[in-house]
Amino acid sequence: MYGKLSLQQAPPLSVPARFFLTAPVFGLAAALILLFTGKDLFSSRWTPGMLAVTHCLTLGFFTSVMIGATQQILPVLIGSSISKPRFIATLIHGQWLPGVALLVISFLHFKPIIFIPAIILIAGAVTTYAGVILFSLYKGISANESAPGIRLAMIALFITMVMGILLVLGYAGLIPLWRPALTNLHLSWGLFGWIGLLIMVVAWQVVPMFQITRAYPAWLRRLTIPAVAVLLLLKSVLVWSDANAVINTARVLVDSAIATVLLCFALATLYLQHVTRRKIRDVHRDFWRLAIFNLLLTLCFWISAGITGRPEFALLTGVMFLLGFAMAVVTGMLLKIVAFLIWLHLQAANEGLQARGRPGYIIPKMKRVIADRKSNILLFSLLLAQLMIIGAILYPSDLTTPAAVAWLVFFSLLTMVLARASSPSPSPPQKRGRGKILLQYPCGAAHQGQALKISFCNLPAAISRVTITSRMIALQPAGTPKHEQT
Amino acid sequence: MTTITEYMTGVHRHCDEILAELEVAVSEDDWDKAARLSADFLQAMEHHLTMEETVLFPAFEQKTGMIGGPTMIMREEHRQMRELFQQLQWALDGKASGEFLDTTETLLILMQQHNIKEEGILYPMSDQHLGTDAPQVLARMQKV
Ligand SMILES: [Fe+2]
Repeated sequence: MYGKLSLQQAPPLSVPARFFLTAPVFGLAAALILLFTGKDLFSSRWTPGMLAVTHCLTLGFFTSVMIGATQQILPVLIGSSISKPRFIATLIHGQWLPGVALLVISFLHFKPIIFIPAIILIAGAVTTYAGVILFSLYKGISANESAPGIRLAMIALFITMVMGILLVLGYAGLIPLWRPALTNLHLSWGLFGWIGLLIMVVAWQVVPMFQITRAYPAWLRRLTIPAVAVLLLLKSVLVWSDANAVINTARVLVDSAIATVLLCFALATLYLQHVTRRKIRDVHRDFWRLAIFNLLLTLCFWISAGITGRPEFALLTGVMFLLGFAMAVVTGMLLKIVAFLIWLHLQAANEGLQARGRPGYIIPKMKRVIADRKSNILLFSLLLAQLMIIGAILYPSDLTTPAAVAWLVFFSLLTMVLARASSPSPSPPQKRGRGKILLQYPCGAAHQGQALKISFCNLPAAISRVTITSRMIALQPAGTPKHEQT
Repeated sequence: MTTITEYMTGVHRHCDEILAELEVAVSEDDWDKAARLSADFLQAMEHHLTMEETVLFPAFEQKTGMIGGPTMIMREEHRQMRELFQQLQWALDGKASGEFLDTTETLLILMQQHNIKEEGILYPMSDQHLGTDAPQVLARMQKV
């Protein structure tokens, strides 16, 4: 028999929102570190500043958003909700936030003593998170095809973390430091197995959905997950073997196969977007296009690094994968998800009012929660920041500071847009876009021609708990007295 | 033999495609075409929702004994969609393209997350639970 079947739309808004709202703050921190550590940062992969920046981004930004988003979409995909979602989210977030912050601080100041609490907190958060998700997948009703992919991504996250802990312990001088073999593995599992795989699995669902394209080819979806698993395992074995001609060839082959997996994904996405029937301009699609273009660029850098053996190409590969590919996907998705979630919760608040016999309202829809104009600015700002960071790696002495400033601007804008999304602009008729006059809603008994604006959080409060307060301001149609509290 | 899942998934894709073309028409300010496609879209959607509400959901509830659970949430989401259909019509009447595309954007996401749950969970469960009755339920749905 089926277990508890739940088709609820969403966990409480505060569950993903806390992860989404704290993520860009880590982005800001990363940009600040880049600004203050300056051009020395790129001198080696091992500088303290470099380690601090990468972990600020991979853990503080990407993993935070991904933790929030999976808790949000998993119930939709597999039809079983996470029980006590608010408690679980608090448990994860409460350990994650200080854990990542401490880790970054200990990298910057090299204080072995802070590494220990950082490791304990991060391990606690990751174990709770991966455990809860794996348990829901196990209990899940539907054999949704994304389930194996999400499962592998969770395992990869866990393995990445274990290797990270070993590295940190080695770094702090408590155990031998297996560098560079373990570092390379930590990177492969984290970037390819966790971030890359989760993005691909999510893409199989959301690209066809949001952009009304055909499905990704079945063979691609069937082959990708076992391929990722096998390639990561092979890489893990090969990295410990002594270098000789055979092993070296095998390593190159494994890397080429990983690149091929990513290339197939990139080409399939481009093709689907090309033949889509949704031909209108959509900022979300443009973020995806930018991401795919960056993924192709990443592969070019990777190949160049392999051929020339120059360290800056290796650095560019990692940087473009994270700040080019993953950043564009995650930002685009974040804007869309947040806009929809806020609409959904305004809708629920509206229905709550109606249930208590109050008049219905027209609530602001997605493009009023986050205007296209804002998304466009973010897209442009991201593009600029990406170009600057490429420049900074090639010409560190001239371009590091401008690049840091560009990223600071991008993350500030992102923080602002997300924080302000919680108080959408009101609906009453106003001029917008190409000089068009917006629709005046007909005033009827059911719809009072009013917009509902819910001022439901400011940023500090939102970080701890996002709820809709009872203070709702109904904006009256033109001609009526200003506004009244309902 | 077509299953409920296959048939209804096909209907979802059909509605998606009309919506995509409708958005193009509105963004090109082709309001005649928009009016025509809009009528097609609303009619196809309403037909689909009615099919579920009058035939599939009652059959599902009866077979599984799950009343007030999954089907209730699906009906709830249908109601949210219908609210947006209404606003879509207003935007069309007012030829307000910004408002119209805002409505379709929101509607699209609402529909898609709804469809995932139906295609991934509710329809396969219906096929499975209804068993040999499934073809007969499908035939009744097609007559709506
Ligand atoms: Fe439905």
